[in-house]
Amino acid sequence: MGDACLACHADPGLTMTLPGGATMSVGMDAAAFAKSIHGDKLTCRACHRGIEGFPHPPRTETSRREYSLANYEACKTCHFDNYTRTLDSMHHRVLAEGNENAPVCTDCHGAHDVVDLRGKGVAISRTCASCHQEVYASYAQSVHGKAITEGNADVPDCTDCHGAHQMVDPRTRQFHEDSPDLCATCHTDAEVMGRYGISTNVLKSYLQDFHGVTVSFYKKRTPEDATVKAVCTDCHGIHDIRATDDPESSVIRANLVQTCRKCHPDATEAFPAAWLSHYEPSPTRAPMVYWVKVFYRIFVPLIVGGLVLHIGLDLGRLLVNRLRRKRG
Amino acid sequence: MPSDVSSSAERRAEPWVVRFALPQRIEHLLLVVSFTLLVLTGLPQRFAATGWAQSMIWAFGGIDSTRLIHRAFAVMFMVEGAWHAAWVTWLLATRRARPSMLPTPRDVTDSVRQIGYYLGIAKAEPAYDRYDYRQKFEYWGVVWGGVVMVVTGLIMMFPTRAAAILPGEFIPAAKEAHGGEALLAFLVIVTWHLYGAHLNPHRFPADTTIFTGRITRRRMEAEHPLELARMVDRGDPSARPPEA
Repeated sequence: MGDACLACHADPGLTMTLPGGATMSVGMDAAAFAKSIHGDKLTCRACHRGIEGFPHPPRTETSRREYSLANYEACKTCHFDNYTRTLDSMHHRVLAEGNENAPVCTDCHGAHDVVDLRGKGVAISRTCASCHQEVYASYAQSVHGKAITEGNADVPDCTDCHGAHQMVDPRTRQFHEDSPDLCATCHTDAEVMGRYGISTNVLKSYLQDFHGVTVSFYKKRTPEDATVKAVCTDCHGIHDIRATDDPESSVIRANLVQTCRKCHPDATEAFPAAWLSHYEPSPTRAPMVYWVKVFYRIFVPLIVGGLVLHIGLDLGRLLVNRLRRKRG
Repeated sequence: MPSDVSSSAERRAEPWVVRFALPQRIEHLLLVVSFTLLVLTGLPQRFAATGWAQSMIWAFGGIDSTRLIHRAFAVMFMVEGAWHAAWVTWLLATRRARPSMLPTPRDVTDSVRQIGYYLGIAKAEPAYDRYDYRQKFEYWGVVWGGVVMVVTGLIMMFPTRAAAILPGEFIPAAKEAHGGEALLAFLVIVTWHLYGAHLNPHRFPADTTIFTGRITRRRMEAEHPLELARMVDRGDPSARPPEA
């Protein structure tokens, strides 16, 4: 690395004055850089370009933030794929709209102390928390957030649902209609769900019911005047999702009618029983539905079979009569 | 049923009997239109996970408009049903018509004799009145099926109101029954009704009686001799025996 640079910049107290009078720290922790993922790969000038010789050319930025925004694109020299992904992201859109607080590469990854975050769910989620405090606080109390802080690698961190570089606006209809597939990524995985005794039938049973049928059509094309039909998160919660046996769960029997009333304001106490809680009807679970199903499974073939037999007899008699007449 | 099939030209020249009045023919048309549209928009909803069903739903403009069309024709079906019930009640109450659709013990013996004839046990088919047991079976099938479809359909159309007077489980049970009964109705129509009324060799390609109201005197003699006799007795002008 650039020992020449460190002759001055290893002093952590080193500062410079920007045009306009703001002070910017220009000292760096050489030990932290050495430990970073770039420590044995990059020199100072790989990222800090255009600083040739001493004294350095004068800077035009008027603030520390302006400096970051003007120089973060150095990352794309090597990380072009992830850089282009960020161009489609919500963060980049906000930045392009003029919000200087929108995060760029270095805000999430750091500058000198970049570490590999893959597989480090807690660290990832806490990175997001530096701006999204409220969402993080809610997530930290959820079944996913609690488990992740205990070191559980099965539960999602922020980026598992939102994506890392190309996170899109999650408030759109398209994100809403596509979200069951997102939950299903893990919730239909028999191996993962098996560890917690959670059914993998949840997506199938959802898609068979009114909400799921409608949403699977909306997913392809949502009519402009369509009302919102429930997806997983509308009943279970988004960041604050709880285990279904948690007394605070929005879908536990005691709270369910309140959840239904979000969309069905006149729902009565009896109404939630209309939903079979992802269970297949059976003689013990939703017996009425089960027996209606069994009845028609027998009744339909019985009646139609009988009628077809009657038709067969009619045709048979006609044929016999004609043959007899031919023979005279 | 007549066992000889005459040419269409011959049939046109034959004397006719009036079998169905205009209101009955209009009712049947309303039933054909509403039933067809209900099946076209309903069955794809029951099988919404399959490709053909999804193509049909998109052809109707998506799931919301498919449901809207379904409900619109359901209203047509219900209005037709209510009109029929009122009209029949009035006809019977004022003794303008006999309860000719009511099942009688004779229907049981008729069906046994008819099947006996098919099997070669009975020499001749039974002599039928205005409606034979097959027609009565179908009529009461429509009545029973219609009531099931209307009740379960209304439960699904107004789920929160239904849950105000019924246990919540009635809603998924109604959905199950609506789908089962619909499949039964559809299969009965495409087998039993289309064969019985149109596709069987005696009638092929179509029996127009319910549309025109007219049936040949010859068919009436063969298929509904008791009714023809009754019409002659009460002096129905259309049933007058032809001049020899």
